[in-house]
Amino acid sequence: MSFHSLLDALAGLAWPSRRLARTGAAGLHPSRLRGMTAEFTEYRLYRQGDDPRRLDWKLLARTDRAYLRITDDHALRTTHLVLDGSASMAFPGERLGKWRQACRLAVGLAAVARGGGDPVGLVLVVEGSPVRLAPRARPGTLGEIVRAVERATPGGSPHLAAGLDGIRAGSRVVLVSDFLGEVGPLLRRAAALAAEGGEVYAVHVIADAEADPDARPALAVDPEDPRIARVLHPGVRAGYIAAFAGWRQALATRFRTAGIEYYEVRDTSDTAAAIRRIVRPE
Amino acid sequence: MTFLAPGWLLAAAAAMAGVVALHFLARQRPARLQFPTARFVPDQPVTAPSPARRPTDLLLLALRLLVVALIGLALAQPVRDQGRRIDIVLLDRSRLAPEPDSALTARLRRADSVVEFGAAPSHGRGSLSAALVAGFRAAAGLASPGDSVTLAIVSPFRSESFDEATLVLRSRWTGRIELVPVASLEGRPREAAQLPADDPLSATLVLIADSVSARLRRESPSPEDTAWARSGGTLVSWPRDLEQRDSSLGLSTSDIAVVARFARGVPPDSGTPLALWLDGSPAATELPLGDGCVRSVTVPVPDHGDLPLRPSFVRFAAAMLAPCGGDSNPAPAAQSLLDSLRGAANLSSHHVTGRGGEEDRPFDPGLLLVAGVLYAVEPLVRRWTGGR
Repeated sequence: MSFHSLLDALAGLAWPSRRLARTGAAGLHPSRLRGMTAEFTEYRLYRQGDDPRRLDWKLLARTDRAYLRITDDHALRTTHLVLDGSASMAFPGERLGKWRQACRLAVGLAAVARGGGDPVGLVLVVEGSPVRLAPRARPGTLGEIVRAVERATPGGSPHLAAGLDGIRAGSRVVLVSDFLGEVGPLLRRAAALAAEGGEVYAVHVIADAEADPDARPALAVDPEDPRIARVLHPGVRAGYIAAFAGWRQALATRFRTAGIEYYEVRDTSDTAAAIRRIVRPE
Repeated sequence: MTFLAPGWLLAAAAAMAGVVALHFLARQRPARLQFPTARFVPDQPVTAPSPARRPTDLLLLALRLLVVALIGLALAQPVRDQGRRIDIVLLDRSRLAPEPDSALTARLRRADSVVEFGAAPSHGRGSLSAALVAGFRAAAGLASPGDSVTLAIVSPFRSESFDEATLVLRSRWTGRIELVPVASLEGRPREAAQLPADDPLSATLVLIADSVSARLRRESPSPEDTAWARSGGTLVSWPRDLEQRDSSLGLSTSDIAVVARFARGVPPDSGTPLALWLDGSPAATELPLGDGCVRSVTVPVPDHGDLPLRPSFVRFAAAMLAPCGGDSNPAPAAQSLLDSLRGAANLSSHHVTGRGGEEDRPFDPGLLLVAGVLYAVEPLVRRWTGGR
């Protein structure tokens, strides 16, 4: 996979935080705390205990009243990309459209976050133990992420919720998955992170062949559960499309109700456009 | 190329039509597809009957048709008409068969082998069973693989030439046999026995007059009688006056038993026993003489009583007065027998030759082997194409 064109298309794109960042290293995201930056916001009467270095002496001289100069502070937002590497992502066929799109989304979002100075890490949820790249802000971080996704092969039925273990409150978490595994534990963990002040994004990768399957009859077999084998033929195609769309709608409602931003991205969609839609919703 | 059993080709064609029909009607199992969102597909039966407009699984259909065709060809026994054509003539030399005329002689000269049957000392009865066996042996000795062998039988084709083994042996020859009928000779010299009315045996003769062909002498045979026997006739010496030694309660032949009190005479001192007294001593014997034979019967016939008229004694007398070698029927053979002997095939057979102890096979082993290999491959092709 080549990511050069994608990274070129995303150059200069910023990913402003939706929420106030926690106290931490200085960054681009608005912080909860009021700091000593030059970005003036308001005056406040001096109260006993306030830092006298924040007094506006000129205003005191003019008005003979003590006022504090209040300005906004900015902090970093650590970004965690959680990528689903289950067997269901290896679709369709040899083209692996969903997996490739998921990898491009993860790399693209990592590049945007890294471009804003935020530490970015990767959790690759694959069969066995998840592959974790700790959030880093150093120059080689993006290259490490690219190499990690290029080496990975989707397979098995790993639990996506395990990828959220160890993520601190207040982080930005991006879940890139088809969400065909167990959603309940994942939703609970993600909702907790969102409630703790973090930003959680659910990027739902869907194949065009899943949303609008071929009309030719086929015996559809679930790659993660071969016991599920259903005949997909023109007679049931409409019912399948309706059921799948209904499930996606319900899933979106659950995520949004939990305070998680939900986006659908098709495997054939332009990745850069999708990333722009995610980082800067209109 | 010709076929020894062409009927199997028709059977194979019918089977192939059936295979094609099954491919039109077979339940269609759709191709397997890895589909992550399969759980959203409404749950319905995996297979459904679908009468297709054209046969499905064309590769599998072609393979199955080829297997059936090869089996049919193997059983039809294809034969390459590239070998020699060997002509074997079985020539009847029995007493009823005439000498070959000029045309027949020319035919015999052209033949690759002439096998004679029916000559003495078999009393000239011309057994077709023996002729067929000899013919098969001659064919095995002359023919090579790929050769065609024709069999022809030159004979008067009398009933006496057929026995229980004849048609059984005939069935081993799958081809047609050419039958060349020739006019039958009179056969043995025949004479209607005549006895005076006071002879107790005369009553018996009346009952068996139509089947008697022997010369019966109740006194010592004359030299003329002997000469008559040498020429092929049957001379029966059945003295009326016999020196009686003792008695016996009965006598028997191979298939006749006569129970009565007999005053036994002196038994004959030579010849093959034809009838035995109860104690096993011969009551009648037969001695070959030239082309005929002389029978000595030492069974006194009482002047009184109903013995000459008893059915068992009548059969015994008929057997004693039958031609040499036992009962014979010089009547023409029935047409059904001749049709069975001739056969209906158009082809002359060569697979009866049997080289080196090789069994005659009703199939071509090479074609059957290929069909077997393809049949073994069929499941793999079926799995590969996802067919049924």
